[in-house]
Amino acid sequence: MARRRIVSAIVVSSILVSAALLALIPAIRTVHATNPAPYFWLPWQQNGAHQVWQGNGDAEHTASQGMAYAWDFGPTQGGPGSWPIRAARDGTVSNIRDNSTRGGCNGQLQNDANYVTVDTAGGYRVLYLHLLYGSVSGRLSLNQYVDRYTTLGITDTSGYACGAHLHYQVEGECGSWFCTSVPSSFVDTWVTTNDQNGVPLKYEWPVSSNNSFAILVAENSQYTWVARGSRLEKFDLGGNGPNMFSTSLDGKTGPHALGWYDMGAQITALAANDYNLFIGVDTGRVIKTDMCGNGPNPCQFSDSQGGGSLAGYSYWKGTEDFTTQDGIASLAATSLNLYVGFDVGVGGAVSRTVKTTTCANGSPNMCALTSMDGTCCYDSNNWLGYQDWSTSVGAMAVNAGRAYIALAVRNSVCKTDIVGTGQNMFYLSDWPSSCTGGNASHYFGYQSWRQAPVSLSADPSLVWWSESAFDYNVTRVVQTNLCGSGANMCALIDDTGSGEVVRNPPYGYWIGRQDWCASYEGSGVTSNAQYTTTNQYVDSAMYMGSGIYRIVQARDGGRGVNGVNMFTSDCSGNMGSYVIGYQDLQI
Amino acid sequence: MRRGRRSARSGLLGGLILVCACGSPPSSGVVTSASSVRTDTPSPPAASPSPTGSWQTYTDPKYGFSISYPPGFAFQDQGEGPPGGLQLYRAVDNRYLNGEPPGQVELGLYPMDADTLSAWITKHTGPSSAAASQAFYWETTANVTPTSAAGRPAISFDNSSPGGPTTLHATVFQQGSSRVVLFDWWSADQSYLETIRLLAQQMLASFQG
Repeated sequence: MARRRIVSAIVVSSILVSAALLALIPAIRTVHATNPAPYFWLPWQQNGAHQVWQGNGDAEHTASQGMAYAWDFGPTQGGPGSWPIRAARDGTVSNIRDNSTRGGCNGQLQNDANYVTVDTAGGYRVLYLHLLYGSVSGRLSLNQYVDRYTTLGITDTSGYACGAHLHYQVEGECGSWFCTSVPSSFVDTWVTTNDQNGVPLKYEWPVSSNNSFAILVAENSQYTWVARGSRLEKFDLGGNGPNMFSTSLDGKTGPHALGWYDMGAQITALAANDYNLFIGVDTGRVIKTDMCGNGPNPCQFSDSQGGGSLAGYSYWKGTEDFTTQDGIASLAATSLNLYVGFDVGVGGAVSRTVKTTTCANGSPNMCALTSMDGTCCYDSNNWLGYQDWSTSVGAMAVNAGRAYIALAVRNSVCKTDIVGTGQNMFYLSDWPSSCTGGNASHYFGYQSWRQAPVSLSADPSLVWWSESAFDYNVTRVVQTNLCGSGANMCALIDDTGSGEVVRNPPYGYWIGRQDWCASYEGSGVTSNAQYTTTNQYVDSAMYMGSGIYRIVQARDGGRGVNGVNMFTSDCSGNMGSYVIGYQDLQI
Repeated sequence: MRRGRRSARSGLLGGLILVCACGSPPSSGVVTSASSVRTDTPSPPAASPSPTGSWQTYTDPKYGFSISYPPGFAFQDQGEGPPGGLQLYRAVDNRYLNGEPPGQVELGLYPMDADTLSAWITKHTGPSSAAASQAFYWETTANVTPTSAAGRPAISFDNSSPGGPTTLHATVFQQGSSRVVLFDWWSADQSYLETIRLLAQQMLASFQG
């Protein structure tokens, strides 16, 4: 990747410069001086700083313990001891243990540590150790493919730990969760700027540049909003062919590029109805705007947190802050309602979906919630209800009558109606729910997937499912109608949505699929079909590698052209009968 | 639980510690204090394996034992310990109370749930990935040797697990017929190893109960 090559060049230069200084470095630092790639990202929230308690070769981080290249990371300055850890690289979950309730500063607790490991490209295994009881299994399952920046668990003192911290090390694989650590380094800007060889040292406070691969898209009858990392882009519905939104990879130029803004926080969810844009960020805030203006900072935010409006502008409509360590996981909006999904804790209810109206205009606490966990409200004008889940929630889509909510770990999508209010607003039969049953008047069923879809979109008659299944070499958009009920409610022939179970007469739920030859990192899908009858589009976003994201826009052709490769036979989306255009972005 | 009372004196042995390789920044940690009786024990000075004059004695009325520990150290009750364990304690230099120590002395009480001490060690050896109900306390053992400790038959052995501080040098012996005392020491810092080893030897010799 281009970005990695640039960083590599910086690091190599640093190695050469540091070689002359090597004699001045204490013996223990020779570990650092010879530390080559592989490169990883600091395993916590973007822009966060955590102190290095022990670095490579410090204290018990010895070769005899297999930990010579490990780090212990403590809390943020003045922050809580337990904090969410993020994947340092994308890969497959290979070990999970989070059933231990024991830990402390005593070697006799050495066998009681909770951990998760992720196997990454190049044959590396990344170990995250000393995690909180129950903080992993509600989010992840074995063999699940996780994108970089995915929340893996929460730090604690399980096992031998003198204070809550994360023990992090990169290993070669050895058939166990714990293997001998191998040299590794970090590519985060702070580390490459301050540390030779990308290896942070004891007592330093490295700052994370880690962020999500996922690209988010939301479209209505007039505009297309795209977000990745902290960057928000605004386009109209675009032109035709290549560069349909912008003539530049940064998305800033061209007649269809209308505006952009760099938020001070990771954008984790995006939703639009025909009047409002809702932006969810990793601080737990939801920002509401109208369709905004043009140019840099098109919504004229007064600060990078979207906390208000610059004087003289009225694009900004309000904010609502939620208590979550994991940011806003999903947003869905209709013309009447807003649905907010976020993690609320561990054990018991892992996550929650809160339903409100589209809330008031012109204020923070726009939905008048009394508590930041979304359980109630100062009045019932805006707050309508919530649903607790036993796993993390991911993508969500809502149309005028149905809700589709993706559940991690269970790797399924729950379908209900949307008329409910109060606690357990979807009328599910268990609490917190995993959506295996519910009140027959409201609950429809669920659809299992190889991996919970990373993005969902729905209009009054169709649903689009963005599915990435690493171990099946699948990156695709599946199109169905609203599907039926019960288990396998869409009658899929397999858990990647390849087709429909054969029956005479046919079920008719599955309409088609489009396979992409993109990588498996987070991708998005959106349709504006519920907002317009004239220019109905499906926008499918994917990661092409080398820092390039591609958005392919297709006519909503699947309504008439069923089957495999419903948009195009070109898996890159460069052309095809139903492809209107595409846009490459490097943001 | 209340925070431990530190000894106001930094003793001779503490002064011998030349290098601190740990020095982890303070954290909330899990340090808890002895909730039981602690008294000064005048004793003759030191070259023998018995405690010196300035050592203190920790007495645990619940489990009916006492053990001496050196000046400048804290002896802490750390709760029930790993699955199946009854109680866990450590002796640590006061300077390392709020961070990761370079080494320390540890004592755990466990039910005697095997026919012999040797069988008890075997029973509790196994992978950390196993179910908690299996109560494996270490993954590997080495140098298993019959010995005596605190005036009774004992077994000394080394044990370790992934993610542990380093190799733990352990001695197990019985307290009555129903309990096992697991006494260990470790040091992740070569320059601290001999210091903590000698202290552990003296502490073990002082165990009564």
